[in-house]
Amino acid sequence: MTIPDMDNNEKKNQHHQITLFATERIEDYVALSLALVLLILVLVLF
Amino acid sequence: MEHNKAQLIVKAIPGILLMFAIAVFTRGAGDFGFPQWPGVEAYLASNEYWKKYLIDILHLNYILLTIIIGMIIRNIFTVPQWAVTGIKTSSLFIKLGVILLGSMYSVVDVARLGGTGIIIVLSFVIFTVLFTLWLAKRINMDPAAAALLSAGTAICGVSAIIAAAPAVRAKTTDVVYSIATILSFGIVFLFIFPLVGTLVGLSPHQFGVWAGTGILNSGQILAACLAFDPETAAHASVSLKTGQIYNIIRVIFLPFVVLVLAVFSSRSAQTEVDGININTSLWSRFPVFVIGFLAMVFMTSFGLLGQTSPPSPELVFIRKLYNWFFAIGLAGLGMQISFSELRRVGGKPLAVGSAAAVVKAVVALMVVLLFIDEQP
Repeated sequence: MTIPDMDNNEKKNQHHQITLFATERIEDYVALSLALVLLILVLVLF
Repeated sequence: MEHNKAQLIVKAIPGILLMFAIAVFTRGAGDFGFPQWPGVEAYLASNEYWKKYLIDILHLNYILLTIIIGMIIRNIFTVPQWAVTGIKTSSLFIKLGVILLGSMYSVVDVARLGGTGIIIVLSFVIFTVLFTLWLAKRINMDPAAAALLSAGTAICGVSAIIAAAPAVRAKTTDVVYSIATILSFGIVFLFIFPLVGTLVGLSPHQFGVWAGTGILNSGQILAACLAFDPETAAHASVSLKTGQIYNIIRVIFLPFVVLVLAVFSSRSAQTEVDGININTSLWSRFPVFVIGFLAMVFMTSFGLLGQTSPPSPELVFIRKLYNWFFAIGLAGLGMQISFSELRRVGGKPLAVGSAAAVVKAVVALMVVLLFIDEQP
């Protein structure tokens, strides 16, 4: 694969990017909440 | 285009499924009741020749395979539009994995490794910051860019750079160049560390200390440790356990390093300083998911998740769970690494970052060989 080919691939990857979490902090809180839910499920089910 | 939360979550599902499919492709479907597909790693291990060269020497396990497959999709084919939103959630899976990874540690382990760990990590943080700043000054690099690189090489890569950027008043280009330099080196180290560790004959514990001290990025420490000392439900990876403890100790120093760099940067700045609230900036950048990791450590230490040796059914299940989260997250991480971004790295940041990263890795290896026992 040549460098221009790779640049074309890069252009193809330049989609309109939409992120689920507005900030890194919100993502941290979501990770904490999901971990808590999983932990409760594990403790209840086992 | 406006999207509400429900629409965004629906939009993320195809990308998450793509990452999950890559994870199943490499890890196998045995955990889901389909032992017919044992995964690429098991397929490679079934051939004596491939096992010797690809798995035993190159440590090409599911962790590296998921990243490589992700990189191939991104750079040789293209990431489909329908998968983009989901792929951006890869860091959520890695964070979830790190929180649950806390179930591997008990306070006793941290206390046992802590004394040596703190001394080694603190020495390396100070040494790397000073060396990077000194080198950058020698080649007349911009002080803000130098401060960012020193944070990236001394602490844990990208998060340190992002945390330090507002405090040292860095330009966007400085941030991009620093991140690209750190990630490029991280990728090179990801493949070289397990190879050198095998050649030098490091024990899993020694490798964990070396990776946790010498590799620049948390995700890449994880990948290198799992590549060197693979984790299964029956075998807890000693390298990963040690590497993550050293990495967490390193993260604890981040606020102090950012503070020192902010002082350095404001002293070096040519323009007048217009007061920034460093404390607010530090807290707003603090990775709060680390609190979840620590909570898991305490729960495991006090036996709330059952006995640790042999591990209780709860701990075995949680161990499987975080391995899956890592596989899914790292597949997404691979799909976000661009060859052309790596190619764009150039000039002074690359020279300074490379020199600091190599010197740190070599000195860390020497310290491990001289002062770290084979067993914790």
